Amino acid sequence: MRPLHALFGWVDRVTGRVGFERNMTDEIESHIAARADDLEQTGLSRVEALRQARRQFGRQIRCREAGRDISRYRYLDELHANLRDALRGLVRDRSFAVVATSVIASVLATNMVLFAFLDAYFLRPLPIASADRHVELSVRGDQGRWRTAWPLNDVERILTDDNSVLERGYAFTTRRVIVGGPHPQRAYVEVVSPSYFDLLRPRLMMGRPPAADQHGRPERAVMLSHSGWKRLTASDPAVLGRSLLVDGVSLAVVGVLPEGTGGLEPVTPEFWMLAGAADVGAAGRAPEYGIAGVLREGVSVDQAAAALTPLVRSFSFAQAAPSATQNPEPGTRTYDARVELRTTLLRESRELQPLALSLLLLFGLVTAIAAANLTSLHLARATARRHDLSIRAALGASRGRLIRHLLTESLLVSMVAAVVAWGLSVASVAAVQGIVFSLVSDAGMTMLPVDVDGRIVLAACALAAVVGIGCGLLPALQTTKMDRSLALKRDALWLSGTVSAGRLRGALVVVQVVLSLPLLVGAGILVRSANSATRVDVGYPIDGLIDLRPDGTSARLLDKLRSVPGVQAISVVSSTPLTGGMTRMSGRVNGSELRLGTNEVDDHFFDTLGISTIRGRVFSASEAASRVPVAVISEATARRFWPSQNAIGRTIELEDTEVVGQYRQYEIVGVVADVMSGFFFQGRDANAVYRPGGGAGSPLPDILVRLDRESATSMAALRTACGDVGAFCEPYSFRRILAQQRVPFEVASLIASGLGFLALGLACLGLHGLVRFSVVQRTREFGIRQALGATRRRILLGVLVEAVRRVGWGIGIGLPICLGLSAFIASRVPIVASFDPVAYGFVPLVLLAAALMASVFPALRAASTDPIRALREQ
Amino acid sequence: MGTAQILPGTLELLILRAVSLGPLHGYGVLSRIEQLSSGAFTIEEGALYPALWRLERQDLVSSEWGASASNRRAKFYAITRKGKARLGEQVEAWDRLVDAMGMVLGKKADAR
Repeated sequence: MRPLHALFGWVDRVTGRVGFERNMTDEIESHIAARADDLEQTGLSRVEALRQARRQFGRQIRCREAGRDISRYRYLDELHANLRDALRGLVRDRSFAVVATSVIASVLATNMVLFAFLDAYFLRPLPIASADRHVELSVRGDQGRWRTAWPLNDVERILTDDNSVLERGYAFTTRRVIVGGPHPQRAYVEVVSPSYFDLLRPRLMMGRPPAADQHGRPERAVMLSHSGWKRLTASDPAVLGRSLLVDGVSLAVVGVLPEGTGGLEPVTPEFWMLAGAADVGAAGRAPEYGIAGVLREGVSVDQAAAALTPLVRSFSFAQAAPSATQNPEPGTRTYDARVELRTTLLRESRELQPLALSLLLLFGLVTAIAAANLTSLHLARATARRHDLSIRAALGASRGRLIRHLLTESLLVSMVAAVVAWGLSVASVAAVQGIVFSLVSDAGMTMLPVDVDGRIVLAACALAAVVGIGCGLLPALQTTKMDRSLALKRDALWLSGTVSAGRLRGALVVVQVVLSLPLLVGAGILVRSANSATRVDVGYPIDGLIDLRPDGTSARLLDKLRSVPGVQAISVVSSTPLTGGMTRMSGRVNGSELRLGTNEVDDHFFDTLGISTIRGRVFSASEAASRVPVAVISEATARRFWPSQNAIGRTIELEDTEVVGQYRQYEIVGVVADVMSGFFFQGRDANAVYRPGGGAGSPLPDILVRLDRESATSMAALRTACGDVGAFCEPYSFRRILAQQRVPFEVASLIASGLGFLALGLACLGLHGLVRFSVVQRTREFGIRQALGATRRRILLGVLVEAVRRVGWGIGIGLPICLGLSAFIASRVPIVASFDPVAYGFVPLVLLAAALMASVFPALRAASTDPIRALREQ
Repeated sequence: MGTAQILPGTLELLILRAVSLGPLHGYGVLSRIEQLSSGAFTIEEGALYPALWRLERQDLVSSEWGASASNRRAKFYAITRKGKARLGEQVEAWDRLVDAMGMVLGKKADAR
């Protein structure tokens, strides 16, 4: 209690309470002195006069009490007393304190972790002034084409336009580069225009951001992020002025960002550099940049789009004349600028909405279950304390005061839980972040650290207060609704209140079961889809298949790789399977125009991957070398365009990659099995057209290697082979690529099963509490029944049946709700099965089994009631 | 004149009347009431202060620390405008009560 006294001592000083008490004392003393003066004049000594004056005044303590009751400090006193009583009560009933605190703390902590992530990526504004006007530009064509990046000279026309709707615009693009040194490593770099730093105004740990000189020439320099500084320079404190070898170009380090700060992008790059400073990471292509910036005040996104449209129509890509064959009506292809707000790290998007919605729903459900549980706990405790409450009522405490007394306790529990939850969430946020973003961090990128900041703690305290008051109020109202004249008897006369409290708790258990069903079923469905994800068949064996990720391909490198022991086959490709999909190209089949997934591969591709040929043949070496216009299509493509016909010998037209607007005809020479080329959750390719390539004239960017056995040694051998011919490669096994893609599913099923188990635990806890409570309440009844000849087995069964009946009610109400909910979620997240018979069959059984487990001990206690003792005790 | 118990609920009326004649400290209020009632009312001293504080909280009196006649530090209470209005209302209500009680008890008829 000492800290409580200290706290209230401080409150007294702050609120002027100390002065109030002193005034009361002074006034009473002045009264007594004045009376003593008068008494002294009747001949009494001073001492005697004072003694008599005090006696006449009466009991000072009552006078002061009355003074305090009148003062505005009355509620403070009541709060102090209530807190003291609540603390004592909780110390006495430790099991209640621990259970109630754990229930709230677990739910608060999960909510805090969720909101820490939502806050960091969706709610917290970008770290710039006027973040609410930050926009990104894209261009939409009338045929569904759209672009988000353009050559620098196009971009500069918008950035340097004096009448621009952008108050400050900047160009940006992300590139992968190789940073040299004794151990070259891949890194992400954000290439931006100098205006990016004018807008961001970064506070640096050391140095400054790169800048353009007076002639507008970009400085050949980089600003490192904190993670980049750690990874690329091994946290070198004297890094400023040193140079970094980026794709063979030497760039000076001029600044380093402090930990926890990033730029305007959700993924923090290793470093930033200026556009045009050096040609790095572009892989021979002309670099293209996106445009973003802050709108002028008062300009809407639609106004901005309308103002930018004429400018983007003058961009080089829009000016490229469409050929007559491709576009028979010239001038019908139009482009419009589209301006979209992005005021936080991640833009609100249609893809993320259902995810956020489902998450909020899940967390809301768990919170509701915990609230029902807590209400039940408070109800049990308030009912158990009815004797204490009735004494207070008999002594004159009003109902309001009793309710305030009970609410203080529930609020205190909530606040203690908020503190516990704070600790829990801080501890778990880093762990959760580590798991959730392992996909990104494996690829060498870092996300901004998510932290539980003051706003989240405040929000959690507010939630704790709402839960505390909300869950305490109903029990407080229920328990204080009693007849005072019956109060002190502590007997069956109290039954009316107890019976309705018991019924209320029964209803609360049903509510908990109803609410936990969707969570458990949802968890079941997700766990099963994550499980099936581990068994997914991509269409070719992935064991021993390696994505080499070289910095370039050459005949010398391929020859060298072929000589590495254990290498069975090697192929060069333009789009690596399972890393994002094929290149989408415009095509024409049977006269209709459509988008097709295409991939340029060499003659060894199908052998290396192990894709079987169904009809016809695959490319020959000479076809690949000279890029003869022949194509191999997937079975699904053949079925779609030539159902029940032979596709061999037919033609497909594909957009020419070199001449804009020109189409090229390909003769189909083979049909191969369907495989997964995109991300695995997208399923097997709906259509796939393979074109020959990879000859000396048109090198393809990636190399796939088939090893007879995958091991650290063989990977190291591949790396060494690359180094031997002066190349850099980063061998990456397909097993690992697939594992990374499974991470989101595993995380989702982890979250869902975590929440599901929490819900199950809470529901069982509620049921256990209810059964235990009702058994204690009915001890006398059990005693009488046993005395009248009821067997122990009968009593045990009776208690168990009652518990099962409640769970049965919950399942009966919950399952239809559950079916509706899962159909709704499945309609938004297509990869989730809407009805999973296993999850639906298993979960109710688990709930019933858990309910039986939770009630068996209290039921045994009921059955072992000694009739004589039970009747004597009550 | 003998002593009399003050009627419940009338202490505040008596205090308002006492301080309406000029600012008084607590002991002064007590003496003034005793003096005005010619010693008929003796007020329990411990009950006076809660009544004073209640009046102050209702803004019917205001208080200020000052020096008493015997040069002691004392808190002086003065009637506020609101207090004067309340005093007027209560005196009127009291008169009506006395008249009615008198009529019921036949005192007025006897006096005539």
